[in-house]
Amino acid sequence: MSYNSFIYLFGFLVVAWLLWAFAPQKWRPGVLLGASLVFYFASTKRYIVYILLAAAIAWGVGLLLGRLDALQADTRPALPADRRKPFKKEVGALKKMAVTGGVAAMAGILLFVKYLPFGARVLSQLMESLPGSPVFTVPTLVQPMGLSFFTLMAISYMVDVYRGSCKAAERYWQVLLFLSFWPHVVEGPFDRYGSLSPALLDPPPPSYRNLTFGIQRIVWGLFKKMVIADRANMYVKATFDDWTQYSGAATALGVLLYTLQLYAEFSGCMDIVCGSAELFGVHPAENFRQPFFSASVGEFWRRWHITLGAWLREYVFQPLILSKPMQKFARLCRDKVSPAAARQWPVWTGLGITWALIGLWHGAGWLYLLYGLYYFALQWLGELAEPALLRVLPRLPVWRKARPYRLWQVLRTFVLVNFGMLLFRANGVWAAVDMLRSLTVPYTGSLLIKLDARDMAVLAVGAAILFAVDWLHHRGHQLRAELAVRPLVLRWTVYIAAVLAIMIFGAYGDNYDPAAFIYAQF
Amino acid sequence: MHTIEEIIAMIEEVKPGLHPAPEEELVKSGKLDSVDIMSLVMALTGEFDIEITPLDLKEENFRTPQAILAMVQRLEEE
Amino acid sequence: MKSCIKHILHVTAFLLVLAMAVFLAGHYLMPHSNRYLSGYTAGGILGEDFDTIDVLVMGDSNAAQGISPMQWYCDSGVTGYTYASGWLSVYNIYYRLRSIYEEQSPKVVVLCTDVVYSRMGDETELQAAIGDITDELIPLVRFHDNWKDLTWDNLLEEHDYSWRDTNKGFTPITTVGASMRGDYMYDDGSREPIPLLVRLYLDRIVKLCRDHDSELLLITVPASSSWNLARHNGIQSFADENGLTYLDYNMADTDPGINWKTDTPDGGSHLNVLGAQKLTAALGTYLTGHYALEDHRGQSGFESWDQDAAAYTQSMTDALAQNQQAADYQLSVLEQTA
Repeated sequence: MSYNSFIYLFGFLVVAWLLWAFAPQKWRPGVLLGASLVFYFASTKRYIVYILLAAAIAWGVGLLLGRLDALQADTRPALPADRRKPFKKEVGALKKMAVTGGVAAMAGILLFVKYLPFGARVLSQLMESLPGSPVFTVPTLVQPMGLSFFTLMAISYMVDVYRGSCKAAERYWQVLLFLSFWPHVVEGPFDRYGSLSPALLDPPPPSYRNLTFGIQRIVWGLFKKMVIADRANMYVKATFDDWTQYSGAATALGVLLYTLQLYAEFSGCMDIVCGSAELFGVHPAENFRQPFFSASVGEFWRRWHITLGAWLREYVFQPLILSKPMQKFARLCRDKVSPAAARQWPVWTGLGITWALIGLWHGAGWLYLLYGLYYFALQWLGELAEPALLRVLPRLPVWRKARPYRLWQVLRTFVLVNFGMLLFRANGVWAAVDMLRSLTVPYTGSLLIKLDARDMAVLAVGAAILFAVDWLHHRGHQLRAELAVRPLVLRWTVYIAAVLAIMIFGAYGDNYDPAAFIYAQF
Repeated sequence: MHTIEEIIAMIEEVKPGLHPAPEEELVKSGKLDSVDIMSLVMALTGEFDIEITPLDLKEENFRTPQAILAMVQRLEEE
Repeated sequence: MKSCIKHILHVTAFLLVLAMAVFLAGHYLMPHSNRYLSGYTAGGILGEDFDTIDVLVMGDSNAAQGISPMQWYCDSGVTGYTYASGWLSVYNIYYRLRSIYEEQSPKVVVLCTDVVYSRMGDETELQAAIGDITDELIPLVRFHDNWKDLTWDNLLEEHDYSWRDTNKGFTPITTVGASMRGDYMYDDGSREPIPLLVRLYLDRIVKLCRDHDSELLLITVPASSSWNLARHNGIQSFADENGLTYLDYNMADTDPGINWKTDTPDGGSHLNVLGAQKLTAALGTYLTGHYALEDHRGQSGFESWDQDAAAYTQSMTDALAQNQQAADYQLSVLEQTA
């Protein structure tokens, strides 16, 4: 079921909350698990086996690691002094094997289901150049809902247990609940077992504040999705799916509206899921922190889809750079090139791989790889240019502290991000190239493509409201709490206006194309 | 024994133009981002005979140059 | 416990105020004229005088383009109305029928069963049901896009629901687009079951008609591109179970003589005027032969009908001529390319 459907909002959530609130404390996690499984099964039917399997592997590995730790703690003091270090090493090696096996299995599932057809395509393209090679295609496997999310969360669980950041779960259902928890199984955010499980397994009692604040956050998310994103979708679909018909200002507006659509929808979805979880006293990680106030693309990716960047940083980038092969590479650089290269080249290699993975996580295709590498190129060139820039403009660090300079940085980042969005949404690499080229060709038609002037006005007002709320958050305001202490008439006016706005201006019904959630396809 | 000046010199190499005081906030203030930290880690593992694991990549170990020095000394003993 | 009760009261009060706001907004956003209450000219039924419609046809665009009640009035004085709009579902029809019964007491309700199996887009049955039922129960959801029609001038205008349609819900189409389909009612042994929720609402319609002493007649408008024997069988079972008469005008024995090369404007999805004339005549013959329907011609209270009949006859003659021209052209094109 979809997060913005009647069934979810007025059926599932209501029943789940009532059951949870009136259940005795020790049954509450069970209610959450039951609800999550019902939610998941309703959308995936028999493909639920994937998540059951992932939870089993993660739980098993976690348990094994826990047992090995216990073994070490129990037997080590009883050993003679000279046997202690080798014993620790042995146990360490076993632990490493266990976690490596678990991670490999999980990554294997993800790679097999999601990337096998792409890999086969690439392979057969390469082999085409060789004479007499067979042409083969691999059938596309059905990707169960949330595969890209729960496999990575399972990996983070196993690695966290290995590193000692969190304790292994005793029971299978605890890991299953963590992975299948319905607010984050479809589109994330990527949560950590250590931070989410206390609230899942020992929930706070139902509170009026959680209930009302959660609903308010859901309403805000619905506003973003239905009034802004689904409306912008009409224009975006036309200009991106039929890109050859448009150029110049029409294409440019299409890109801007896509950025608006994607932000409104993805952050709106996060509001709906975080609001849903908040009803039950659970607080998933935040995925957005006013990303369009960023001064660089690096900062942008620390404020946009935060949990994906954090996951890759902690479980790929850092371990990769600290790994033995990379250390060897660093030594090679120091010997053959320079100490500076030894410091930088491994980091850049790691960064390049990480960005490539960010791109590829979104989809198995060349376009997505290009998307990731685009941001890598920007970051890399920025760093490379830094020393030269400082030489030419020695006053730059001082200028950088000034307000106008920061504004320039924010605008520059905005433009760069929009180019990235063009890449992301285009119907393939050649379409993207075409569209980039067509930006320079003036467009003489009307810009009211699939949307009339009134729709555009709604979009403008919606974007302004979105910007205003982001701005207030940027300045540290806690809007729901601040609104809660205002007079009743003001509060109720705001709430009722919000609901009416969604009902009146929502882009639903016969006049609009249906718009599925974009990130649910990843 | 290593000195705080060695650490600060390394930080300067990683991020030209940055000359932090021994107790100056590095991470929370945004002076060093995750890429800078990893470059610094590469410098530290290259210069000193220590092994840094992902577990050591905690904010408290890189908060100030003093904290970095303390971490290096601890890792050398192991 | 006390704070719990306080909260519940607080929330209930809020929900009541919200509900009021929603219904007020819905009422305000309803179209200013009944002409735009629904697609085609279905809304015109509100402009008819109370209790003057004897035969109420309900359906989707197939009915709107295929059944012309004014023809019955011209031939035998039977007053009918085709309440039909694009993509109406059984859920929509149930609620519309309920509201029509507040003003009319038709002796016969003719349900065009094309609506049972049609669905817009690829929603699931449940989603479609929830969407349509919400549309009917909460006017704001149904008319929410009307904010676009508000201007400074009509901001405070009163609703005027007195517009009447001289064609009584029929929309004549005079273009021709031949259907090359051939036999579409062949037997492949299957029976398409009626979805559960649709079935529930069909039962409610049956009960509604019985409660208001209307006879319910099930028919299917000829549609070569969307009807088949499996669907016929599905409806036939339902009709048998409820003791209802079912006339499928796609079947050979009830075929009103549709020529699929000339009688459809869009390759078999709908009928044009040529086809509508045949279907209306066949249905009209059945109605007058099986139900006691009054001849209202010349009666007091039906003067507007007599007036409209004259206008209708003229416009239909023109429409038929136009349609025939297009049909002849279509046939000649087909001959050339054959």
